[in-house]
Amino acid sequence: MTALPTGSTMQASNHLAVSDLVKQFGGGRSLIGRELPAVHAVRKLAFHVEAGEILGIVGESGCGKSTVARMLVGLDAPTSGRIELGGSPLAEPGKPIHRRALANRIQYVFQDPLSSLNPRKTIRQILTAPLVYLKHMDKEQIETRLKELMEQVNLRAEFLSRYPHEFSGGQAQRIGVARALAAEPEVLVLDEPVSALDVSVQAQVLNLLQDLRKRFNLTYVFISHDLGVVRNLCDRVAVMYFGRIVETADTDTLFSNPQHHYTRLLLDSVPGTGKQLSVGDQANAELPDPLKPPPGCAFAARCPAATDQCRQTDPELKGTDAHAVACYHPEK
Amino acid sequence: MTTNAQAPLLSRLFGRRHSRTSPLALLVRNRLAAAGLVVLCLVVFIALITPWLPLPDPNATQPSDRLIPPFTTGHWLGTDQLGRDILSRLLWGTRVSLVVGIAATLVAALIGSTIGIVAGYFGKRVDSTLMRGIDMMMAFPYILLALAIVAVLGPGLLNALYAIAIVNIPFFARNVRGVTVTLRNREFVDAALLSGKNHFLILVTEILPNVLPVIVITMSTTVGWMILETAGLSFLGLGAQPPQADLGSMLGEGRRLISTAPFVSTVPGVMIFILVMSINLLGDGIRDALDPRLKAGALRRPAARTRTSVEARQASQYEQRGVLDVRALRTEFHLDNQVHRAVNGPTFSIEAGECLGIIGESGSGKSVTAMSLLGLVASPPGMIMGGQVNYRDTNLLGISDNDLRRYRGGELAYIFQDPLSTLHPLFTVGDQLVEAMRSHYAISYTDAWKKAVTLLEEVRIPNAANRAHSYPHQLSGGMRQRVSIAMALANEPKLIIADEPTTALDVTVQAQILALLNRLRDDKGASLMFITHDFGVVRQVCHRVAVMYAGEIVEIGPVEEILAQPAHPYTRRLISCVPDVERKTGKLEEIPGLPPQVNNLPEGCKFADRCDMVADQCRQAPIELKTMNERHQARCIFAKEVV
Repeated sequence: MTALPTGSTMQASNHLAVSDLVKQFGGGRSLIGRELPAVHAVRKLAFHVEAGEILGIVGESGCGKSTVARMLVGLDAPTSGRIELGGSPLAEPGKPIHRRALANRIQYVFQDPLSSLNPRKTIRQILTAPLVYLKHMDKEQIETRLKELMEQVNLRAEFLSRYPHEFSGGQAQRIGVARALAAEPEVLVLDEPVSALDVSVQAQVLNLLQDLRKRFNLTYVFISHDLGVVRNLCDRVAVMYFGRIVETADTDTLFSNPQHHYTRLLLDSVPGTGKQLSVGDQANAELPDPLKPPPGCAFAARCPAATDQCRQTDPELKGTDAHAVACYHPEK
Repeated sequence: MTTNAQAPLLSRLFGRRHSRTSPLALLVRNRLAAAGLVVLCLVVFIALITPWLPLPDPNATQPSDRLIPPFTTGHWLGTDQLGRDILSRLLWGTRVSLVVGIAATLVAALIGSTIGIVAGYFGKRVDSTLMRGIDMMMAFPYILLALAIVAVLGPGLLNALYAIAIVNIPFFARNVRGVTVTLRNREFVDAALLSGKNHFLILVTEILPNVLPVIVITMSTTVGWMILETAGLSFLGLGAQPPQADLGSMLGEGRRLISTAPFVSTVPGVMIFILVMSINLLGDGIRDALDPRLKAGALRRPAARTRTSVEARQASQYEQRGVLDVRALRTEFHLDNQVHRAVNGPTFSIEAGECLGIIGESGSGKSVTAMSLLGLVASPPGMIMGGQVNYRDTNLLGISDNDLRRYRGGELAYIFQDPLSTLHPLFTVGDQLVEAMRSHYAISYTDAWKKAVTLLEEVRIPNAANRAHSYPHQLSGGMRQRVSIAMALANEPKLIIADEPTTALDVTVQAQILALLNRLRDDKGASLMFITHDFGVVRQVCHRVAVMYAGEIVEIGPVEEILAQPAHPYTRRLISCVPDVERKTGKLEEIPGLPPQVNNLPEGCKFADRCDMVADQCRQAPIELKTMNERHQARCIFAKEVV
C-alpha cells in the first residue's frame, strides 16, 4: 500500500469526506501462493459532503455505488483509503472499524424495506435495538423515544406491536427510516430508498426525507439510479461509472450542462421527456470486465469522443467544487 | 411460465396484508399427519402413565410361566422365555426407546444446529473448517460409525444415545447451515449490525428465530429414524443391557424363538412400526406446514390453463374492433375462502400496428389482465369469471387447449420483466429460439438455427452467430431481454404483450430496448400491449394508454391528451407524483393512503378514499366510464369538470 494523502488536504468545513477509497472483492493469494482474481468494485474514489447537504450518487447497476454506501456505514471495510466525518477518521487503512461508534454518527436506509426488517420481530423490537445497544436508554426513555420516532415518520404508535408483513412497502420504508433515526445520527446513507416503491408512495417517502433533513439538520448521501428523484431532492450530484466518479456538480449545473459524455448519455436516456431519444438501439452498453479494468477511461468503448489518449490513461477528476469532470474531451 | 414466476405477482397482490394460515391448522388439515399425531399422542400418553398402571414388574422372572401365549388372563400379551410379562416389558421398553430417541434427537439438534448456524453465519474459514469436519463424519457409513463409537465407549443405553446423536449431527449441521447462509445475506442482519448488536446477539435474536422452523422440520423427520437406530443397536446387544427392556432388545431376545413363539418378537416389532410410522407421518405433516418452499406453492401444480367459468367460455360472439378486443374481463383469485377480485372488467381494444400502454401501480391488476388473455394465470387460485378476449373473431377464453397453445408464443407473444427467470438456464439461447419455432412450425433444426441467428441480428445483438451459442447467464440483462424479444418475434406475432420489459434494466439499456421495440413494431406492423408503471416509458412508446386502478380501467385515451389533460383525479395525481427530471419542483405531490384491498373493494369509486374531490354520490354505485371524446374516456363523475 502506498502512502496516502493526509487529512490536511481536506477542508475543515467538510462534514463527510472520502479520499482515495478503493474496494476490491476477492484478490489476495491462495494457499499455494497463486494470485486470485480481484473484482475492482470501487477505484480511487474521492468526494465530500457538507453538513446539511444532500449529495446524490447516480450510476447504473454494477457501478459500485452500493459498495460505497456500505463502506460509509462500516458494513464493508475499504481495501484502502480514508473516510472522515467532521475531521475525525471513521475508516483508516490498517485499523479495524468500530462499528458501534460509527453507527452512532452515520446510519443507513436500505433499498428493500421488507427484506431489511426481520420477519419474526415486531416493529417495537426492531426499533428498540438501536436505543438499547447504541443509546443505552432505560425502559422509560425507550417508550418516549419510540413514540417520538413513530410520530417523526408519520406512523401511528399502535403500529409498534405489528409485524413487518402487515405493512405496505411505503410504511415499511418509513419504519426503516425511523430505525436509522433512532440512533440520532448526523449522516444518513440512503441506498435506493424509493426504488422499490410505487410512485404515489415514493412521493410520500421523499417528502418525509426532505422534512426530516430540515428538522434535524441531517446530511444525506442519497444513492439512486432515478434521475428525476435525484434532480428534485439533491443539492449536489456525483455520477459514478465503473467504480469511479466521472463528474460531480451542483444539481442544476449537472442537469443543464453535463460535461462528461456518460452523464450526457444518462440524461438523454430518460424516457418521456418529449425529446426523441438520441440513443440508437445498438447494443453497446457492456461494462468493462471488473476483473481486468482497462488502463484508460472505462467509458471509452461507448464514448463518441474517445481518442487513443482516452484508451491509454484514465483521466483524473478535475475542476472546482461546483463542477468537476474526469474527461479529456468534455462537452462544451 | 411456471408458478414460480408468478409467485412474486401473487405475493404482491396478497402478500402484505394476507393473514397466514397457522401451521397447526395446516397440520390438522393434513389427514395422515393428524392420524399420526393422534396415534403418537396415545403412545406417549400410555408411556407416561406406565408407572401408575397395575402392571407386573417388567424384570421379574417366573420360570414356571415361560412363553404363555397372548390373551391369557394376567398376561394379555403373554410372557417371554424367562416368564416376564410382555405387556409390562413392552410399555416400559417403549418408554426407554422414546426417551433415548428423543434425547438423542435433542442432543444432535443442539450440537448440529450450533455448528450449522455458526458456520453459515461467519462463513469463510470458520465455515470450511467446521463443514470439512462434518464432511469427514459423513464419509463413514452411518451405522458403522455408530458401532465404532459404541465399541469405543462400551455397550450401554447411554453410550448408544451418544453414538446415535453424534452420527446425526451432520444432518442438522448441513440443513441449518444452508438456511443460515441465505439469511446472512438478508438485509435485516446488516440492519441489526447497524443497530449496535454484536454477532452473538444477532445469531441468537435475529438468525435463530428464522432458523427454528428448519430445526423443527429436521427433528420431526429424524426422530423416528433415531428410535429405529436405538432399537438397532439394542438388537445387536450394544444398547439396553439385560434385564432392562427396550424395544430393540426385546426384538433381539425374541429372535431366537421366532419359530416356536413368534409373538415374543412380533409384539415389540409392531410397536416399533406403530411408533415410527406415526412419527414419520406427523413429521411429514410438520414439514409441509412449516417449509417455506412448500408454502410458496412448489408442490401446487397449476393447470396448463387458467380455469374459466362456463359463462365466459360461452359468451356470444359480436363484431370485433381491432386486432384484440377485450370486454369486461374479470379474473379472481380464490384463497382461504376469500375472493380477491384482481381484474374487474377492463374493456379495451388494440388496432393493428398500435401500441397500447397499460399503466398502474403494483396490485392494480395490469399483469393479471395481460396473463388472463391467454390463460396464463396460475390456477388454482386464479379463475376467469367473465368477459371476452376476442382475437380474429374468436373468443380466446372459449377455444380448446390445443388451439390456445398454437396462439401462445405464435400470433400472440409475451415478453416478461425478468428474462433471467423466463429463459431456461441449461439451454443456449439459440436452442431456445429453435425450440420456440419448432413447436409451432415443421422446420428443420438447421433452418431454424439460421433463422434464430437472423432474429438475434434483428434485435441488434452484436456477433449474433456466436452469441447464439451462449447460455442466458453469460449475457448481460439488456442482452437477455433482447433474446426474449427475439423469441417473441420468432413466429411472426400479430400482437406482442410486454409486461414491464424494461423495469429491471438500467436507464441507458432501457432507452435502447424501447428504441428497438419501436423500430420492430414499425418494421413488422405488429401491435404492442405495453404494461408499465412509468409515464415516461408510456410517452416514449405508446399511442394510447389505459390507466388501471384496483382492477379497473379508470381512464383510457391518446397518450399526449391524457398527459396534458388527465380527466380522472387518480391519473392527474399520479402524473404529478413523478419527480420531473427537467426541473426542480420543490415539494412533490403525494397521494395519501393506500389502494383498496382487492378482497374488500368498495361499492362505488375505488379511488374515493384517496380522492380530494370525493362527493357522496361517488360511493353510492359503481361509476361508469364517461366519454370525453371519441377516443378518450374516464371513470369519474367529475371527469368533465377536471379537464
